[in-house]
Amino acid sequence: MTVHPLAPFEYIGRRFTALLEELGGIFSTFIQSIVLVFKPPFRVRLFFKQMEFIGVESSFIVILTGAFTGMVFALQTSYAFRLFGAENLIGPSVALSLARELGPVLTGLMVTGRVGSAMAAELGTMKVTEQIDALSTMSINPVQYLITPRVLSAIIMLPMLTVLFDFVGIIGSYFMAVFLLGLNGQRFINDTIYMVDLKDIYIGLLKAAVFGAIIAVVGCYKGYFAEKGAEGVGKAATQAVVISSVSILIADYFLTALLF
Amino acid sequence: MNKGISTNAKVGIFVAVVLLLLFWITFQISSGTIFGRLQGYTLTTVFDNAQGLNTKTGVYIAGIKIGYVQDIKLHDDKALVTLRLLPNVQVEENAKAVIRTKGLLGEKYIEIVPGRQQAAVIPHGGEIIFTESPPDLEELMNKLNGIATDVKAVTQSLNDVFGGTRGEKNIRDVVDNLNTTIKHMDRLVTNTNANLNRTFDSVNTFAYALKQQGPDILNNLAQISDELHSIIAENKQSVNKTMENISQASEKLDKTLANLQVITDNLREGKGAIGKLLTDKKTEQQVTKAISGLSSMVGGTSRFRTIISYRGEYQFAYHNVKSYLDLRLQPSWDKYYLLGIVDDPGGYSSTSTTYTTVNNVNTGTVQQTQTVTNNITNQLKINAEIAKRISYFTFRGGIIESSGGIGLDIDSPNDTAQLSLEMFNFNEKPYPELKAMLGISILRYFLLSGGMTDIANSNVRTWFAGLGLKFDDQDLKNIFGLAASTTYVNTK
Repeated sequence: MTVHPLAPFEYIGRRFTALLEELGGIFSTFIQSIVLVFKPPFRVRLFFKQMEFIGVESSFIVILTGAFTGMVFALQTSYAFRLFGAENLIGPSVALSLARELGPVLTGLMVTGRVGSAMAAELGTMKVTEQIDALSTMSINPVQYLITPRVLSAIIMLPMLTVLFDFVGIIGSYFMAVFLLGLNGQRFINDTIYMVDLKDIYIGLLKAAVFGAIIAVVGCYKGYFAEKGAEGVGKAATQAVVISSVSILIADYFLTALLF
Repeated sequence: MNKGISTNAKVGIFVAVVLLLLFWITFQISSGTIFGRLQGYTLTTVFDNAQGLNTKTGVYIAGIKIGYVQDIKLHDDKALVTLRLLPNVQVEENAKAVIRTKGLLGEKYIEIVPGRQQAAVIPHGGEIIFTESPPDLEELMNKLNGIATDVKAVTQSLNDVFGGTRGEKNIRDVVDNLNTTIKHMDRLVTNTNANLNRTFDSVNTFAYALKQQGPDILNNLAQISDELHSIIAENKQSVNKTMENISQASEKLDKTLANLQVITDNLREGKGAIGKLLTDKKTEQQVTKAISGLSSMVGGTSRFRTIISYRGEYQFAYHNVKSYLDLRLQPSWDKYYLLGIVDDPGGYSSTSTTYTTVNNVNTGTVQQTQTVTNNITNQLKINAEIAKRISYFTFRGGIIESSGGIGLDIDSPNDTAQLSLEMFNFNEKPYPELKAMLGISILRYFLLSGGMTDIANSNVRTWFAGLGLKFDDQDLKNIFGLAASTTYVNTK
């Protein structure tokens, strides 16, 4: 079988077109879902259900991750700062990195793994079992019924989970520094408060909101457009997690460059 | 629903908890701000170099944080720094903002050195005019480098002097010189020792001679006494005769005294003319009168006071004592005659010139030195003066220290202090000797004095301080207990 000389270019072009198509699809889904927030009927029950699923049920894993991140970060930085005798900088450096980067990003990644995949699988299943078509038949806008509550909940809940992550992480680093490394607790708190700015925390929360939108939109889009039965659902779930995670990291870079 | 907590409640609890945490964190971080709005007031200050300053860099007074750097901008090639300070902190107009370094990592902070309390307080938006930027590290390094270069140059030259074979030779020379010097000193000491030994020898010889001739001297003495003895023996007869005469004379005297006894007895009993005269009351009155007249006459003579005084003056420039012994005869209160002798250690001076030739062994040269010696020898001098007193002033004239001179004394009202000015020795060049002295009597007999001699001749003049003793005839009588009755008559 001969390969047409232009086949590689055709392949690249097809992939690029597909990528653009997907990007456009994700973005249009996002816009639709946001626009539909303000259109009746308001699905408050569904919204709360999603908030419980995304926020409340993710809190345990976020607290766990946050505590250990803070502790390990305190431990690691102490090795470096000990060299300079600058141990008082452990608190500020842990707090700053948690608020600015680690809090939003790690929360986003944890939620992606737990929620993004679930969304893609749920909507994918509904898609392949034609439940979404049934909704349309009942003149219920499936985007408004399924996607809008998830996106809105994620946008609201991610910053909240990030607050939780930051707080628990700082508490963890405090315990590590004071009880294991023997630093002065009051000094730790004073230095941390002195070095950390409100701006650091708010920008972190803004990032988290963006990450929330990415997770929900990508998950919903992948599920909503799933094809080919059960296999397609599994593929949708995997792709949702991969695309969300990569998007979160890429978006984090641009947001950091843009906002700080 | 009957499962317990509803979805809404779960979400509500979650959101509430998270919002509480967020508020708490916000509140902690933004202490000094209210929901992000900054509190306090701002001051600006301009630094030449704001290296190491950041926003949020602390501002301290006396080590207490009172604010932070809010903004740093470039302004006319200098750093315009805006400080945000706590509202209850006041900065005076003459305060000074200084960038200091904290800790090992060179973290910077701004210290505000307070000004005087009286100065006006800088208002919101005002400027701290006095600033001090940290020294540029590179500049400092350059300076240190310069110092290191200097130190190196010094050590290099030291090395040149002491290091190497030449330096070694130099040090050896120094040690050799020292050695030679010590040898010379040793020789000197040895010579001196020889001199001393010679002196001791002389003394020894003298003592020995004395010892040798001692018996001779004693023999001579014995001989003298023998001769005396023989003289007395030869004249024994005449001595006896003399003693006989004395004996006869005493017998006669005895008789005479017995006669006198009879006469006085008669007189006492009023026998005879004289006896009557003596026992008569009238005679007694007349005699008393005559005696009182005589007394007044004798009294005049008795006011002829005699004052003997001794005075020693220590002359600071010559470290010697000049002594005065004066006899003052004072017929009346307003005049006196003074006779005295003066023992002057610097009385006579002569000049002699000595030439000394020294043969220096080390250098092989012959040196000749000329020494001019001023010899000053002791001399006794004489004072003979006549003095006339008018009021508090006494004018004196006559011979002062063996030369013609005049003097003026000014007494204090109770005569305890006296300022004297004397001018004498008119031959002295270029000016006559001028002496000023202040004397104070203490405890009647003592005299403290001080002043300056030879004031006009600057090369020989000297300050002096003196102590003296003064007695008049009365004191002498009192002291020696002589003529007590006469004293009685004289004083009354």
